[in-house]
This record gives sequence, structure tokens and C-alpha cells, in this order.
Amino acid sequence: MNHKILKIIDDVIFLKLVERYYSMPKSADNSDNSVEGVLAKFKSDLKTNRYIIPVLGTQGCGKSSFLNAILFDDIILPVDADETTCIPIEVSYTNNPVAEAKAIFKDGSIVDVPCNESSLATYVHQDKNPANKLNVLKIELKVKNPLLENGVILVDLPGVGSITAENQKITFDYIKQAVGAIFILRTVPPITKSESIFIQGAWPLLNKPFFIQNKWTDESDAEVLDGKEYNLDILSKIASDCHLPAHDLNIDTICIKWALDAKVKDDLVLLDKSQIPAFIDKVKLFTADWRIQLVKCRRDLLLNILYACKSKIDNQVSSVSTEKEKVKIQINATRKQFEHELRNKKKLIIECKTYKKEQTKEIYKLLLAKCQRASEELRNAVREVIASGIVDGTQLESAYQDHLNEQNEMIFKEIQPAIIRIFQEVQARLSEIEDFSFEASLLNSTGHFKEQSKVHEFYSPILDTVGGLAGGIYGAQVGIIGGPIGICVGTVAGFFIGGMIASFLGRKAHAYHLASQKEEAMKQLFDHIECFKKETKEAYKNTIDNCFNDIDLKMDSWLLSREEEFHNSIEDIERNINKTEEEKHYLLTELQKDQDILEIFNNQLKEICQP
Amino acid sequence: MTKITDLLKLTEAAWDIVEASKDPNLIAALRLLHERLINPQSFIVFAGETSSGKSTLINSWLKRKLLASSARPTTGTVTWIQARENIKSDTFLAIYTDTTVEEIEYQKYDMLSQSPSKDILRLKIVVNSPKSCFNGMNVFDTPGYNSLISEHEEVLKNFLPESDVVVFIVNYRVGFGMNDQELMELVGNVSETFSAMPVILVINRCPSGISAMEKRIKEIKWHAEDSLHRKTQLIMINSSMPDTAGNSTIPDADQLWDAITVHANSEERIGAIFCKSKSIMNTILVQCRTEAKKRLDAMSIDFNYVQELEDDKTILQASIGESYKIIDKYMDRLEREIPRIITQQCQILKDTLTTEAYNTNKWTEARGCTAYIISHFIPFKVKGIARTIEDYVKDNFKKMDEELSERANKSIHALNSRAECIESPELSNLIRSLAINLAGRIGGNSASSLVNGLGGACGSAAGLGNLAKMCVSNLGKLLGRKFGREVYIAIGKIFTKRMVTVLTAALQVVIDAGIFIYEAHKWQGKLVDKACKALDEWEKSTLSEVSKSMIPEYSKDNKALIDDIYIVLLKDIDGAIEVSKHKYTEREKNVQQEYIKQIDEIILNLENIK
Repeated sequence: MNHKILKIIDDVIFLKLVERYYSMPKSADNSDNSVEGVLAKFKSDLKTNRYIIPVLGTQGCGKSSFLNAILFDDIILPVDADETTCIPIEVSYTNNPVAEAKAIFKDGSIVDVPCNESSLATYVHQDKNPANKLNVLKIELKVKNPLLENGVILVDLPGVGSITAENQKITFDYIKQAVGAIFILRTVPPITKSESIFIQGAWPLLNKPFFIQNKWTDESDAEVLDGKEYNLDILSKIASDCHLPAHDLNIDTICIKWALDAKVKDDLVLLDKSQIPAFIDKVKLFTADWRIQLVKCRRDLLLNILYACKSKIDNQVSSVSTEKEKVKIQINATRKQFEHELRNKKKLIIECKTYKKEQTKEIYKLLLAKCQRASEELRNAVREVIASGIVDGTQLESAYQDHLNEQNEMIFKEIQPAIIRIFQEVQARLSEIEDFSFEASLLNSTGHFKEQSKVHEFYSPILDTVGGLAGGIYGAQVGIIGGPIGICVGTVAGFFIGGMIASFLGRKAHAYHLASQKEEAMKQLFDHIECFKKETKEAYKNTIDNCFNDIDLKMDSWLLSREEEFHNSIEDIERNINKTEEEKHYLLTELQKDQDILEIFNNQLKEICQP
Repeated sequence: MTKITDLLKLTEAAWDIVEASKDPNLIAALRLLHERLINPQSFIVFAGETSSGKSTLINSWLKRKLLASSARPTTGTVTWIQARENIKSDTFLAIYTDTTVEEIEYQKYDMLSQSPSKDILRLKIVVNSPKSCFNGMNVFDTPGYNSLISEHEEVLKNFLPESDVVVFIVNYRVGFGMNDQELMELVGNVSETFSAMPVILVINRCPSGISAMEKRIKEIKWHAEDSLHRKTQLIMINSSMPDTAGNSTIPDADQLWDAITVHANSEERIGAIFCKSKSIMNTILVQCRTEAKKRLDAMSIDFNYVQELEDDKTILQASIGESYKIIDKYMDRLEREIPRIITQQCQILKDTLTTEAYNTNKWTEARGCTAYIISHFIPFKVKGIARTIEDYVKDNFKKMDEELSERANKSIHALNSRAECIESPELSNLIRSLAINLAGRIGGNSASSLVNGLGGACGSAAGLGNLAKMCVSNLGKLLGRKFGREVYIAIGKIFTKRMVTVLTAALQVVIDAGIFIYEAHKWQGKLVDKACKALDEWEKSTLSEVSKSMIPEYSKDNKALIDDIYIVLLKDIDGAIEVSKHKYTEREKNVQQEYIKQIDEIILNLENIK
């Protein structure tokens, strides 16, 4: 399907027509928004089929075992309870029946690695490569497995929870690019506080989270069910806190151990019992559907552009084929209507900005209170730690770090849902602002409203159902072409929130030489707590401010584009009505020709993804 | 003050009506309310470390050495000093745990105050008010807490919600220690749940001539406010010099008592008393009316309909049975899952602590590593485990609440639909009122919660500011009290605390073993060994605590709550059956109707007092 779209984009005539009739909306960030540039970017996106799905879970929950079970017939990825895989392993598809592995280093060099557990462990295991002294960036593994055929890349990521700032950053960088993620949960203990904070941070950025609960062989069905019920409750709570759709929330119970045993013994019954095949089917279904959705989305965007071109032609046709005076009257009426709509939109945008401002103030208040509280708790924790006789620099620092993490998580847990709530409200308000009457007022009465609204229908259900703040399938694509502003905002929000999590959860106390003298060490830590309080406040504030400024810019430039577009089309019409009859006739023939060609493209596009 | 006077008059006007209800709880509630309105008292709690000078400061209020004070711990139990007008001589009273009160001689009081017998709840002294502005002031001198913080916590948990002012005393020379921190955090936690009561931080025995800007003073205040999580009012009291004969003297603490008086007589406090009292009065009257209406309905019911009422009883009894089953289901789950979580997490903890110990430089860091593992690493992780369990319990309780409420709603629905089908309007009314009552009780709006408030954890003998308690139960009504929540708060935290306390005891053994004096190549092994043994011990006793105490307590308390909710309704039905056995004349019914009208009138008058 992709190639059909590519063929259309590559068509010189298509490019010419679009350039002639379609004015690209202004971009807020001065990026290349020439039709050619945008279509080129669109094309390159179409060509790369990379659907990243990270596998996430706390250390020792069985991430690597899970990947071994679903991808290999043997244990290939190193499995060890403690600090395994501090380096991401990307597993993607190859036609070659023999699996291949490469170690990619931070300096760009690449080394071929034999695809077996012990060789891989050399690079990814904490014992063999402590603190990543080898400077490995990632491991790329290719395997012939039908699950990956669609372009799916599964990533074994550093454990959730006790991870370092760097691991945290790597994890979130993957999450930001991911189309979905697989979270591995446990029966015992059920989702812990730090897991739930991690999920709370990652989920809003994902379009599709898969939750699986790994059943240990010593766990009875009742225990697994209990754990699952409890985990589901926690997940529902996170979803409701973060205002995420949770109607299809589910946890699949699988047994990794059985799946691995089954593969060794070639026992298909046991494999089925492990529920791994059923889960694989589910992921496959999702990725296949995702591909179709992506193509559909791209098709819809192009259709949208074509509609815009067609309406412009219609406008012109109508302006040359109608009496001059009649057109003038029409222009006046349209102008009035447009200005009325414009005022309305401006009012709504101002209201939206005011709402944002007020809510931001509330968040700042909450932030202030939470940071104050955190600093008080931290100081008392330090006093307690020192009073208990821990005065050695490293140990004092490490105890302090524990408490710092605790407070950091507390602040994040409270603040993040509040921020998400505002984003979602702003997003909803903006999609309301973007109703049709505005677009329609740009056109005269040639019956295109209906067609236009049809295009919009492609978006609206998506606005409602897309889970990820990042704007889902459309977010990634629409951003380039300038689709519904609500989705653009979502993309912005997703970007910022993603950044926020990465920078906060893994924050570390500055390494320092704590004085050996008790009072002096305490003073040093108290100073750090003040810094922490100030920096945390500032960092959250900056995140929110930057993001909201960006949204403001987007709103303003959207409005400006609409105005410009309108004036341009009026100018075109005015130019047309002053043309001689001969010129008019020529133009009409040209327009008719273009319209016919557009219709062909239109039909070709419509055929794509038709059932 | 006029609105308080108006309210007082109204309680007097309502006297006969409430008495006619013959409900001892409502009568007691009205009596207490009346007493409190006549004499709006204030309640001041003195808290602080042993020998911080609490008793001495109270003596400075009375301008005489009434309470024993010396450098060694002198106060062994809570002493309650009540200041009243026109008291000729001090009266000493012993209040026992069975709520009986006995007047005692000073000598016995003195003996009991220092080493109280087990049956003593608290001691009380009624004294003549040193100044008229102190009339009605109740001052509570609490024992210093030494390390008995958990017992102290129970005392304070009962007292703090009732207090108008908390006076927190710190000895300048001793400073603000870990015990102070823990106690102040407790004050902060308790007062967060209720309204933020004023806390006065007294730094006692300051050297003369130092200012509030002095480093030590600033440190104490900072530490205190970090623990309380809000600002305090600071008062510095200077040391008093011994007299020429070398005897201790009473310090000048007038500024403290002035500050207390200001808080005790503040507009906000009077306003709060009014609001609380009005709301209690309203609850009493509404309760009276509901009962009266029920009786009126029952008076009109034909005895032939008694079978119908028996059917209602069956509905409620079935609901109780099923509610028990729901509770059992959740208790089974907790009993199964909590030990699994503990055992598994404990194993992980042992593994990580082993790594931690062996990663330390064995030549130089024995002492530091031991302190770190014992004082931070293990307690920090164990608190994490405790919190995991607390969350697990809390979430399960929430779900249980939902199921129990759903079950109760089913009964409400059943009663209502029966009421629809019944011919007799009186019986139909009665059944409907049962449904309403049940709905109210799920929301916490029950007569017994009001009465529990009156009894109070302090015991009615103390008669201590039950208004706040009652207000709490009313608050519960507003917020929608749910099954289990209170129970959870009451014992969930205590359990966590116990878990940590048990751990501290187990770890003390490791510290006492003095591991760091072992040779360089052996201490790590010893430390890991001892720490793991301590953890084993902790695990063992925690597991036994879960199965022997925690789960049975949860189960018992939740079932008690179910009983509390349903059994009164069953009694109501029995009462109605009893009433319907008699034949009532129209005149008798009219009298009852008239009685209801009178209640309505008073409710209306109450609404008008603003």
C-alpha cells in the first residue's frame, strides 16, 4: 500500500498541482515548510518502517527471558537477576535464517558479535562490562521471526526502578519513538510504588501499552488471578489519574518458564499453555493494524490536501464563471462571515490562554507546596541519618540519594497528572475551536463543505480515541503538514512530558565530597536540599512554560495562516473577476484540466486501504 | 457570643423533647452539649521530651509549685488541670480505666503521678482559676516520651483532635532531638487530619539575653517546623535562678500564658465551637424526629402486617451474612498474599544487602558500612516493604468497601421496592425509612457514630472536648464514611509502625554485637550473617503478626462495622413490631404527631441562628 502512496507523491504533476493550489500553513518554528520539503519528509517517513516496541519492567521481572521465549528457540539474550542489560538490545527482522548480532559503540564503531548468550553477555552484562566501560551504545540483533516481519523492533531496555539517570534517559528516548510498549508485571509483589511511577510516566506517551503478567511456576491460579486483579486496579487508577482511555485495559497472563521449557522440549501443548503464542498473535495483529492505520492516515492527509486544492479551484471556477457584481457581493458576504468567525476564534483562543494561565498558577501553587514539603522531609531524613551514625561521605551520600529519589518520585507523582490534565483540556478546547464553520467560510457555496467535513471526520474520532498524548498515529504525521491543531498540541505536550520524566526520575544528587565533620556535612546537604527545591521548581516551571509558549505560538500561527489563506484566496478571486473574457475562458479550461487530474489522484488515493 | 447564648437557650428549650425520645445516647449528647455551651472550655496540651520543663511551666501559670518537677522524670501519667471559678481548695481526682472517678488525697496523688498504677487512666486536679481569663481552661500535662513513643502516640492521638492549642516544649540545652522530631511529626499528621490547630513552640531554659536570631534558637525552630510542616509561634522562656536558699524558683512565663489565652479566646475558636455545636444539635434533633416518625408509623400499623416486617428483617439478615462473606473473601486474600510479598521482598533485601556489604572497602569502612546497613539501608528498604503492604491493604479495602456498599445498596433497593408494593401507607413509610436509614448509615450518618463521638476515646469520664470528635463524625458524614477506611487508618499505620519497631529491636542485636571490631577479612561476612538473621527474625515475627493479629483485627473491626450498620435497623424493626402489637387511640396518635411538630419547630429555630 505504501508504494501506491509513494507513487503519487513522486508524480511530478501531483507536486506541481499541490504547489499551485495549496498554501502550506505557517510553521511556528520556521522549519522548512515548502510543499516540496514537506512532501520529501513525508516520503522519507513512509520509506522507513520502524515500529519500536520496548519491553519494560523492573529488574528481575523476566524481560530478557520473555524476549528469549518469544523470539528464539534457545536462550540467546543473557538472563541474570541482577543488573542485566544496562545496554539496550534492539531485535529486528532479517531474511537470513541465521541470527546476527552487532555491537554499536558510542564512537560509531561496529563489531560483529556471535549470536549467543555468553558472547552477548560480554557487552551487556554488568559483571563483564561494569558501568559500560566498553562504551557500548546498543546491540542490534537480527532474527528471522515472523513477529518482526512488519518492521517491528523489540527493545530489551534497562530495568525500571533502580536505574541510573542515563538508563532512564535511554529508556525514555525509546519510549518517545515507540508505537507501543510491553510492560512486564509480576504477581508478587504486585505493581510497586516505583513501578507505578514509571508506568505513570511512560503510559501517556504511548499509543498502545501491552501489560503482561509473568506467572511463576510455583504460583497457583488463584494467586495469579488475585495479583492480576490487583494490578488491573492499579493500572485503572493510573489511567484515571492521567486521564488516559482505559476501556480496553487488560493484562495477559503468560508463563515465560513454560514457554522456554516448551521450546527446549518441543512441547507444543506446553507452549500453548504458556499463553505466549496467543500474546504474539495479539502483538502481530496490532502491528499489522498499525501499519494499515499509518497508511490510512497518510492517505487521509493527502486527501485533505487534495480537497483543499479542489476547493480552491472551485472558488476560482465560480469566480470566473459568475457575474462580476454577484461575485463582489459574495466576496463581501464571505468577508463578513469570515471576520465574524475570526473574532469568535480569537475569543476562544484568548479564553483558552486564560484557562491555561489560571491552571498554570494552580500548578505552581501545588508545585511550591510539594517542593516545600519535600525539602522539609528531606532535611529531617538527613538529620535522622546523621543522628544514627552514618557520617561517612559515600554512605551518607547514598542514604541521602535514597531519600532524594523518594521525594522526587513523590513530587512527580503529584504534579504530572495535574499537567496532563491541563494539556488534555487545552487539547479538547482547541479541537473545538477548529470546527468547520471556519474552514467553510473560506469557500463559496459550491457544495464543498460536505466533502470537507468528511475529511475532518477522519480526524475527529481519532482525537477522541488516541491514547497517547503524543497524538497517536496522526500526531507524528500531522505535525508536518499542519493538521488539526489539537493534535499538534498533543505532539508538543508529549514531547515535553517525555523530556520531563527523563530528566526528573533519574535525577542524582551531585557527587560531592561530604565533609567528615557532622555539622559541616549536614550544612552541605541542607544547601543541596535548598538547591534541589529551587531547581525542581524551576525545572517543572520551565517545562510547563516552554510547552505552553509553544502551544501559544502554534495557536497564533494557526490563526495567522487562516487569515493569510483567506486573503490570498480573496485576492485570487478579485484578480480573476477583473480578467478579460478571453483570459477567463483560458483560465477556466486550465482549471478544469487541473480539476480532472486532481480527481484522478483523488480516486487513486481513495482506493488505497479500501476493504 | 450571642449566638452561643442563643444556641444555649435552644438546647434548654429542646430538653423535654429530647428527653421524651427516651434514647439515652441522645439525652447524653444534649447534656454534654449544654454543659459545653454554658462553660465554653478550652483544651491545651503540653507536650515535650522528658524533663523539658512542662510541669514547671504549668506551675508558672498557677504561680505555685502544684506539680512535682525535678530533673528526673516526674510525670508518669497524663495530668489534667482544670481551672474553675470560686474553688476554695484543690481537688485531686483519680480517673480509672473503667471510667470511675475517685477523689484522692494529695499524698496519693503525688505517689500516683510519679508511678501510676495500671488501672489509672489519668489524674485530674481542679484548681481555682489564677485569673478570670483562665476560667474553663483545661491543661493537660503529658508524660515525657523517652522512647515510649508508640504509647505516647496513642495518648496524643486521642488528645490532639480535641485540643485548642498545643504547647510543644524543647529544652534549650538539649535541643530538638529525634524524639522531638517524631512527636512533632505526629502533631503535624494529626492536626492535618483535623483543622490546623495552633502550635506554640516553647524553648525553655534559655540563657538570659539571647535573641530569636541566635543560631541554636533558629536551628530548633527550623527543625520543629520541618517536622510540623507549617509555621509555629516561638516563645522563649529564660532559665529561672534558684533562690538564695538554693531552691528552684518558678520561671516567668506570662508571655506564654498570654499567648495561650489569646488562642483560647479567639474569634475563630468561638466560631468553630458554634458551628460544631450547631451541627451536633441538628443531628440530635433530626435523630429524634426520625425516631418519632418511625414510632408514629408503627402506631398506625395493623398487627396483621407484622409478617411483612419479619420479611424485612430477613432481607437485612441476609445482607449481614453476605457482607461477612465479602469480608472473609478479602481477609483470605490478604492472609495469603501479604506473607508472600513479605517473604519475597525480604529475600531480595537480603541479596542486595549482601552485595552492598561486599562492595565496601573491607579495610577501612567497617564501622561506616555497619552503621549504613543497619541504620539506613535495611530500615529504608523495610519501610518500603511496609508501604507496599500498606498500599496493598488500602487498595483491597477500597475494593471491599465498594462491594459492601453495593451489597447494602441492594438491600436498600429491595426495601424500597417492597415499600412500593405494600398497601398500608404507614408500613410503606416505615420500610422506606429503614431504607433511608440504611443509606445514611453507609454514609456514616448514624446515631451511634454520634454517640461514639460522645463517648470518645478519652472516655466520658474525661468529658474532654467531645465536640471536636462529634464534628469529626459529622465530617465523616459529609465526606461519606465508608466501610473499612477508618479501621484501616486506625490499625494500618500502627501495623507499619510495629513492623518497624520489631525491626529496630532485631537490628539492635547486630549493633550490640559490635561487628566492626572483627578482623578486616571477616567483618563483612559477620555483618551480612547477623543482618540476615535479624531480617529472618523480623520476617518471622511480622508474619506471625499478620496472621495472629493484623488480619483478625481487620476482620473483627470490619465485621463490627457491619453490625453497627445493620443491627440497629434490626432493632428498629423489632421495636416497630412491639409497638404495632398495641392498639393506639387517635388521641395518642395525635399526641405523637404534635410531638413531631414541636421538633420541627425547634429545627427551624436552630436553622435561624446564624
